[in-house]
Amino acid sequence: MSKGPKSKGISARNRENETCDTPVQTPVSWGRRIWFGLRFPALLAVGVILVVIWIWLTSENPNQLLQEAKDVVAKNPVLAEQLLEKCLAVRPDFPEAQLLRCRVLGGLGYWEEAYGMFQLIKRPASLPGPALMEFTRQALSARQYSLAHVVGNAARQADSSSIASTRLLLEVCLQQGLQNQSLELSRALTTLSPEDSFPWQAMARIYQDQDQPAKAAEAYRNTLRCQLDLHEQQQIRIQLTRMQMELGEISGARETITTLLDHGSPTTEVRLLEATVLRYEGNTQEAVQAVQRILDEQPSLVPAIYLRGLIFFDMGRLEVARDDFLRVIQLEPRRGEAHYNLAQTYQRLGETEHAREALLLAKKLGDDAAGLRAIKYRISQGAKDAATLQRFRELSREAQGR
Amino acid sequence: MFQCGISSKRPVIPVRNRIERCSLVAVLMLSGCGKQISDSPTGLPQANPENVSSTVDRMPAEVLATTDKTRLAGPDDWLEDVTEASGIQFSYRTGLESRQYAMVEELGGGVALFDYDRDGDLDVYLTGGGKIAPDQIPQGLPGALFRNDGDLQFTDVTKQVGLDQPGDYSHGVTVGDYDRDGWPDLFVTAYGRSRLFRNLEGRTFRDQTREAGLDLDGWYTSATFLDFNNDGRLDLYVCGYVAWKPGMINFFGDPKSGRREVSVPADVPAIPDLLFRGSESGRFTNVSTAAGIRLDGKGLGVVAADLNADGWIDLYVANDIGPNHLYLGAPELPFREAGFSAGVFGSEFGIAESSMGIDAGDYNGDGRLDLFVTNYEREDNSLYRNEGDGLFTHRSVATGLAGSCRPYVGFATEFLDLDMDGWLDLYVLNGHVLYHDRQSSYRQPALVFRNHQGVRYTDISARAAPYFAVTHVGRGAAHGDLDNDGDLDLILVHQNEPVTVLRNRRAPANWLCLVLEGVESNRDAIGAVVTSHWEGRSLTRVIRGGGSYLSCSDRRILVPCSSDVQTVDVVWPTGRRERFSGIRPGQRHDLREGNGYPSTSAESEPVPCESFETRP
Repeated sequence: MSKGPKSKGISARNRENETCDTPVQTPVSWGRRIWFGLRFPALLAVGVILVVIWIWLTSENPNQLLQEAKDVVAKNPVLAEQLLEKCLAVRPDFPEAQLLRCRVLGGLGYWEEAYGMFQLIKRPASLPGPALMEFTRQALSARQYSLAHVVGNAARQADSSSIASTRLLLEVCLQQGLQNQSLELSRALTTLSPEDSFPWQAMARIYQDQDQPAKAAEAYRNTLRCQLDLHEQQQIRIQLTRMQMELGEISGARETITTLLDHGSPTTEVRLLEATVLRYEGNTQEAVQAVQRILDEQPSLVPAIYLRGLIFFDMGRLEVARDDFLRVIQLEPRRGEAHYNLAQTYQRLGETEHAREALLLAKKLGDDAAGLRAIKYRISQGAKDAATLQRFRELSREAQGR
Repeated sequence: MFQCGISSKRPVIPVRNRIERCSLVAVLMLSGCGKQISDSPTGLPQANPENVSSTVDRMPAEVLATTDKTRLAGPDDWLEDVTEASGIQFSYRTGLESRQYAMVEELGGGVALFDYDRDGDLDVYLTGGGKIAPDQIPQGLPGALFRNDGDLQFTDVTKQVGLDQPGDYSHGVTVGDYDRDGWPDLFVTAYGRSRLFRNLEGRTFRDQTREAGLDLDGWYTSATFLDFNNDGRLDLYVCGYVAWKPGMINFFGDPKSGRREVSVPADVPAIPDLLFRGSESGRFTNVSTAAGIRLDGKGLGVVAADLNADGWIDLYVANDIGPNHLYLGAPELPFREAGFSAGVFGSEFGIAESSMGIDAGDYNGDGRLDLFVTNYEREDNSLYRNEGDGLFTHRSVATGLAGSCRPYVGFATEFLDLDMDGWLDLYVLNGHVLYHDRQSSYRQPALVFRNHQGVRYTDISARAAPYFAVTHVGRGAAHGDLDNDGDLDLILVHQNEPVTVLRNRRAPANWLCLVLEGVESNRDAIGAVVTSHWEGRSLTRVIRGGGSYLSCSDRRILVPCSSDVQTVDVVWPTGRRERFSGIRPGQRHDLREGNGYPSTSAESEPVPCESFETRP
């Protein structure tokens, strides 16, 4: 089998020699013969070598490119992006470079591209946690919540016991309104970092949104067990008082409001809450005085006028109660409860025609409010059918219209 | 209601609660044991211990969950739990253990206190509820009648008096002598066929439903006898709930987790309440349309009394998920519905609520009947003060009743003078309707409020009795002087849990027990107003129909008095005013219409009278 090509080569060379030698008719040296015989392969080999050398000289090292990109990213993100593009052209599966490119793209405002690029990273959780968290924060501050969620999740997967990554992901989920996951993360965080007030606050906020005042109050109480500055404490106590009032825990609300009043000058909100608590405690005279002090400073504060009207009504001071309800309606014409209490006052004053008019309006507004409340309740109990949601939207729009 | 449901930790089960659970388990064994029902001496099935654990396993965890903090009975407790000693061992059954999640499971059962055998002490009838067969089909279980043998000892006479037939899935009960034979009869409401039982001289009860023209088929809850036209014959008002049918709502709950729940009645149309006019023949005629009874109420509670003091009995109806109705009576039908204009339809914000239990009584001693209604969680129970001229004002906040009830789903409630100080106190039974509510637990504590001179109520549950420190799923309740010692005792009905008998320990030194008998008026004297005098003030008490929730309290009037011989004024339903004097304290007195001396007003001079019957 090996003879065939050899004999074929010899005869070919003979034919070549014949062709070359015949017209010149000069004797040819062996060296020249060899040169002529091997010049093309040699040139080819040289060329290849040169090309390799050229490529070696001109091509970039991905690591080097990444480093260069890192060096210039702060000053020249566009150049950094080009370098990273080259880097990834050389080595497409290079998570660290991919992540940096995502960040650069994000920094340049190309968030969609950044999102797409991040999706190409095969094992994002294998990346260093701090870098992922950095990117999460970047996306979060740019309000790219979906991306922040994906990256934040990867950061947490990288180290599930990390308080920082859990906290960060919780921030993202809260921004996204993902209540269930937020609650889950909050609970995890309260175990990981019991002294941190943030998860308790997050839980309280979610429960408040979900109209679960008992759980919200419990979370606020836990928040107050953490280290907080005075301002934060006050804010939490205000919310706690609201929840306690909602729950009917009047003595608890009194305790909270007393603490609030003991610390610094109370805000209008706090003073109004105190007046409400006083009314529930049956201290009507003090309640009136408390509301009056607020109204001396802010004569058009509707909740205060309304509250004073209720207290006067409780006390049987019907004329002044009527005046307060009328003032409330003047300022907020679609406040149903003011119409209702005005009607009640009119009735006790014997002004039946006025009472009838006020009642009719109150009924209309009250029916709408009750309808909205019923639907909200159904949704909170799990009803998510299209008709319910549609009706909820309609009633919400009407309520907002007020 | 919410506080007790927050904790995810499961506390150590207190002994009392373990006992209750054992009883609960025993009761749960009844389901699907038809043979045992007939074999039981009480007409009720006996628990099979072998099946206990499996039954518990089938119970939703929330139903068993508790956050109770038991406490020992103290010498100053107002009430004492005497259930075990009394011999009243009975549980209203919902069929929960079948896990069919039928809507009928929510409402619960009631109790009636009445003297069926006229031996002078109060007997107890309890509705039985039922079980739920596959495809959510409710099946009835018999109620039970316990005869009072004195000294708070009761004997189950259900079978003996012929009340051991299961009938349909029962809820409420009311008592009235509809045939004027002097023996109190029973009307039991149900999902399905409600039934009228005629009392045959205290020996037995006969089902007279069809004969009386009361062949209802639907879902009926509370009911009351009344005499709306003052003809001396009892009429009947029956609250209709909703038009739910088995399988109507196949799945209600959390679709994600697949956890099922009893469906709520929000989307199910109401069935109208019914008003029947009684006649001499004992037949009732449906006059609902002529009476102007509204079609839109999901009625759960009703009380009948002359609220505007015009001489005609009025009706106040507690409706679920909607405004409450106030029907003002008049010489001729129709009633005038005035819930909205009178200010008794909903909250102080003018919003309709979900109401259940109901009562009327003069809480502030001004001689007018006020109203109290229990509501759903996150809604204050409503106290409406009667201002006269048919007007009421919402006084829950002003009297301190707002708040403390808000976490709970309130059911039975009554104005009653528990401490016999002359001021009407209140109790409220609570318990959720949903097994897995996100906000609160299924079991909830009952509450007692003490009336401080008609101005404020304070929650004294903590010192009322250990019962109030334990959570229950409360529904119906009724009061009466079970031991004839001059104070008011309570019987409380729960869901799938034994009823509780609470003996009052606040008997006053001197008291009056008055039993009114109408002659021209209806024999039960429903609508009569009694005024007695004590410590310089007038105590106004009314014989009202209905009240509480699915239940019927004793209609005897029990008031504190001085040690002197007493005088009382009675305004009979017909409008006749009479004065009875020479009444000795510490005894029961039967006041018969026509036997007193006529009086033109409550202020007229008392005329000595010995013509009424006195029973020691």
